[in-house]
Amino acid sequence: MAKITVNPEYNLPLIAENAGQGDIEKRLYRDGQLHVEGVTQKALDDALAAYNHAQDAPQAEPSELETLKAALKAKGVLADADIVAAKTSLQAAKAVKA
Amino acid sequence: MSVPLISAAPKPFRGCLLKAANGTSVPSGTMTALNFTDEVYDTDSFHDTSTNNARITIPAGVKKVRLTGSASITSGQFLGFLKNGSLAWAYEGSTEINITNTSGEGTVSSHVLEVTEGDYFELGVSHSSGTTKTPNINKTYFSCEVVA
Repeated sequence: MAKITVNPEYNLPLIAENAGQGDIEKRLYRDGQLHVEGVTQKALDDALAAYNHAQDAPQAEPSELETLKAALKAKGVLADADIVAAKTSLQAAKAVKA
Repeated sequence: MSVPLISAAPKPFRGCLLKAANGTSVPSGTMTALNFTDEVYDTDSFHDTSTNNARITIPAGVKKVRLTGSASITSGQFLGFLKNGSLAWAYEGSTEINITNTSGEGTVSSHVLEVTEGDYFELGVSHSSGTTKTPNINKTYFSCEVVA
C-alpha cells in the first residue's frame, strides 16, 4: 500500500485517481496521510507532485437551499426579485424583533 | 424441599468511551479515521490518547464486543467501522450509515462482534461536501462494550 503525507484541503480523490486508483474504498486518510491500495508508491508520489491546488482544488457542493433556489428559478417558479423581496422581508422582521 | 437460590454477582463492566480530538480534519471524498484524544473511561487500556489514538484495541481475555460511534460533521456523511487497518468498512456484523439530516449528526452501532486479542477498530467517516470538515467534538464519540 502506498501513502503520502498530504494537506487535507487538497483534492485527495483526484490525487488517488491520477495515481491509478478511483475506488473510494481503496483510499483512507489517517493521521495526516493518504493511504491508497493498488498503486505503487512512485505513482502516488508522482500524482502528488503533479497536483496543482490552485486549479485542482475540490469544489464545494451548493447547499440544499441554493440547489432548491436554482431548481425553482430554472422552472420559472422563482425569480431573483422574489429572493430579494424575501430577504428584505426577513430583515424587516428581525429589525422589529430587535 | 426448598431449592437453593444461586445468584452470581454481575461481572464488572469493561469497555471504553472516547471523545474526538479537537481540530481533526476530515477531507472531502476520502474516508477518514477519526482521532480521539480524550477518554471518558477506559477500564482495560483499550485506547491510548497519544499513540494510534484513532484505535480501540482489544485486550487479552475479550471474545465479543459491541461498538458504537457517533459523529457530527456534515450532512451527507457516511459513518462506519474499520477493522485492523482496512481501508474499507468492516462489514462483518455492521455496516455504514448515511447521515442525511442537515446537522450531520448520527450514530452507528455494531452487532456483537467476535474478536481476538490485538484486533483494533477505528471509526471512519466520509463525505463529499467539497470542503474539509472538522467534527463537533461535543457530539463525536467512539465506544466499545465487552459482551464476553
